Amino acid sequence: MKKVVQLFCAVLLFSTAAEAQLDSLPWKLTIWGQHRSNTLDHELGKLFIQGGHIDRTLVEEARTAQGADRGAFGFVAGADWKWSSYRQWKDTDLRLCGSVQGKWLGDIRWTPELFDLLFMGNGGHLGRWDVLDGSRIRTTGWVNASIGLEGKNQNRIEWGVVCNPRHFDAQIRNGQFYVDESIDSLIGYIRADVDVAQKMGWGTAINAEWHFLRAEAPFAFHVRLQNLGVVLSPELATVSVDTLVETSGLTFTGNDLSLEAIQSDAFGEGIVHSDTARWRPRGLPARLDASMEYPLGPRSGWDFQVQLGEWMPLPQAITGYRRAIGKNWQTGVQLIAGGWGRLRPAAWARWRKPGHHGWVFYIEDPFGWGSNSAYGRGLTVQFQNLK
Amino acid sequence: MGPASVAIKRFAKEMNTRVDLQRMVMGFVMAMVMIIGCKREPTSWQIEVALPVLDDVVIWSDLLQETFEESEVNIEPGTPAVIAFHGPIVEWDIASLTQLPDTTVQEVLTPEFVGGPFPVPPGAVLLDSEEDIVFQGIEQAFTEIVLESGRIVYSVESSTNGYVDLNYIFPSVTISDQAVELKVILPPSDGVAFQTEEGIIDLSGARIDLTGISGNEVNRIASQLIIGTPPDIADTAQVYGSDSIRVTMHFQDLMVQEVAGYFGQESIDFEVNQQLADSMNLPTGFLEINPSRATLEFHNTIAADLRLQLNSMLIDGVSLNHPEFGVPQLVGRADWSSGEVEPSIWQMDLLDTSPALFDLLSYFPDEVGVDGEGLLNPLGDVSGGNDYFDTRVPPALYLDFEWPLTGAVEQFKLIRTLDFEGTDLPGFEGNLIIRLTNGFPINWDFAGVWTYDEFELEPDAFEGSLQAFPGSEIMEIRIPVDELRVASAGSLTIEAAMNSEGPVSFTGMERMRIQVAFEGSYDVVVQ
Repeated sequence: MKKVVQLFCAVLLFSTAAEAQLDSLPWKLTIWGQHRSNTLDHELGKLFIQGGHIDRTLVEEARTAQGADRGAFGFVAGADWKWSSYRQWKDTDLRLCGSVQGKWLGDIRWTPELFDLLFMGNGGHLGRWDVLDGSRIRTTGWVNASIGLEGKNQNRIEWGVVCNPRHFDAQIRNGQFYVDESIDSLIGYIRADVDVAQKMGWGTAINAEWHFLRAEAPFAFHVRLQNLGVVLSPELATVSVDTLVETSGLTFTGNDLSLEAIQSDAFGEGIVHSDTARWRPRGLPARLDASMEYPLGPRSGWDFQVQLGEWMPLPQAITGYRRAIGKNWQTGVQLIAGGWGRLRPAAWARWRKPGHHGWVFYIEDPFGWGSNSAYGRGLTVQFQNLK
Repeated sequence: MGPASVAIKRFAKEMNTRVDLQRMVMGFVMAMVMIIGCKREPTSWQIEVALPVLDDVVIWSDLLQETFEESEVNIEPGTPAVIAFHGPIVEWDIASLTQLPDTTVQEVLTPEFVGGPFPVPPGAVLLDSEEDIVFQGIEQAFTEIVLESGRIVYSVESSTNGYVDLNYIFPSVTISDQAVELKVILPPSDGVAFQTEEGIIDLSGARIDLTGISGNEVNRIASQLIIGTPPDIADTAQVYGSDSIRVTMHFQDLMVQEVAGYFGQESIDFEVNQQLADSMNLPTGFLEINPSRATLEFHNTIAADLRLQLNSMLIDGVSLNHPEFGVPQLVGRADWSSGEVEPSIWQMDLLDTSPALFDLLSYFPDEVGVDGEGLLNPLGDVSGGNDYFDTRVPPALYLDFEWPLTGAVEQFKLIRTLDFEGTDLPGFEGNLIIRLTNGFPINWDFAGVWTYDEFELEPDAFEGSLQAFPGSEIMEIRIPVDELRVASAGSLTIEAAMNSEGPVSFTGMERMRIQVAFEGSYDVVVQ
């Protein structure tokens, strides 16, 4: 563990020391945060976070919004500081580059039946099989300090050391629940496990970018890969349960499902199993972005982007229109589909002072700011040093 | 200031910006804490729940087995079914065979000279004697015992100016086949006070041969006492004529598990009143009982002859007459040769009582009282000192009877009580659903009451009737329940009474199904 910490510090020191050798360099700092759901609107979310009584109407609206689809809620927040030097590496076209990135992800998904059980109970749908398969809640956060080389067209590849202080993952792999209409039999089955990292994990990851920019081509194409790597958790506690309960009610006495048994201290032994593994590897939630820009005119263009990974239940597709205004401004509007939520708009603006610095503001689902009926919102702020 | 700090400062200066990374990180963390951590009150929502809680059946054997927990109750299905009951109703405790009197042994060693001091080198033996320890106050002639519990409380004292090595060995007292031995090394006395050591030897499970050193005695434990100076301590003891070494062994609270020998002609009077059944589960009412066999048995589990005389018998205060009462009966010795007891059994037919026992009762008896006397070894020591008794298998009176399940039933009541612990379910409003399904060919009347420990809550009472099977044999009762009632601990008592119109024959397969479920809504509260 000590060696891993030393390696992490060495990468940080090396990157900052290398930068310190340069007279000046381009860098950019991006801070972003967003949350989104296909089921839970802001009003419901606010009640979950800030407290208060959730009216049945809100629950039923959310259930209607979910329909027969799997419900999902996700959030991602982070900061990314990327730099590259002007100085070339040993008389080649390559230059030193690096980044320090911190990211926090959360992902919850549930079946419609689980939503019913949790927020409406089973009383309203007796005689129905509730399927819980695939319901899951997980969160993780990490810091990735990377260093690498950048070629022409800002193509770059970085290798980094990852520090993963928190990780939690609970999922129901299979689950059913059933109570018949006359309330005289119950069947429940669950196969689930929970992983909790009890100590800080360490790992390694690769970031890469490839940009297709040709003067003769009428379009640009970009591919970005982030956090493709693995983390080792020193003590990953796993609690698992795999059991079937089929009963028409408890008996008075007996060793299994009886009033006598459930009141004994030994009840539950053999149902829940726990294990603490040393150095179990886990994949980081990597992300792949592929985007294309097509000019529609000298000052306007059409964008299309696909994003995969980062625990998003569906790939996220983005399309938009961009336009330059004056010498310093550029703006755009987009439509986003997939990810954790439903179709939503986005808008962005970029202002820059050539040769000095620039700012980018990106707002996902602008209606989410101030509206209770929206299903998420996101904000990204980026500062670019252009000296 | 480390190289990293220098590098970062230089770098920040060259960028000519006011970016403070540390503040940005802190700001980000603060923002997340504000978003996640600004919860001001619990979150709650209402859900509707319907779950089965209890499903059990009551059958004849449950009813009788719970009533007579200590006895074996078998039901042979048929037309009619036959209930076979066999179990002890009175067990005999014979104190003279189960507890040995406390015994104290004291040994005092003094020099046979005056003056001194005389040097005693290391490894010297001052006393080596074998002696029987005799248990006083035992009228029987015991040759071997196994103790359930007991102890030796010992004390060793020395005024000698030198180390004392004491070994007290009991070769005839073994625990797990190891002889019990007391080994004490006392340090030198200061010439003013005795050096003392005290302790306890636990004798639980000890097997004791009581035939003494010769192997032909009774009530004696062989012992060997060795007193000297320890060979491995290079200290020469200085012994005066006035010195002494005292050893006291106190055998205390010796409770016997097994005993062998000659038990003598021990007279045993007994007058016992025995609760037959758990009164909480005891049914009441009229039940026509016409047993085909009803026998009172005396099981002699002692390997010694016994002369038994029963003088009277009371069942629930009713005195019975029987030709065998007052007549001495010689009951032979039990056979323990195989290691398992083969009791000698004397029987008395209860169907010969006057008045006829079961005509008189017509309900399950609650208490039985027996008055009588017994004499061990009425013919003397006919076994040559080979009597044997295991206190885990005491002599006992058994009731053995068979009862065809047929007859009239009137208000024969069963009572079941379920205790509930309170559960905190905010805002609960719903029903407790009690569903009863009758599989008996007779009608049942039910009355129930749910009482709450919370004194402000009035008990909820309900009642109903179930028709005989087959017919309208299902009854459902819904008891409204609210948050206060669910939160309070309480108990649900169901009283069920059987009634038949004339004699009914039971098959033994009858059962009553009791189901409990609840449905309602309550507020889930997440703090």
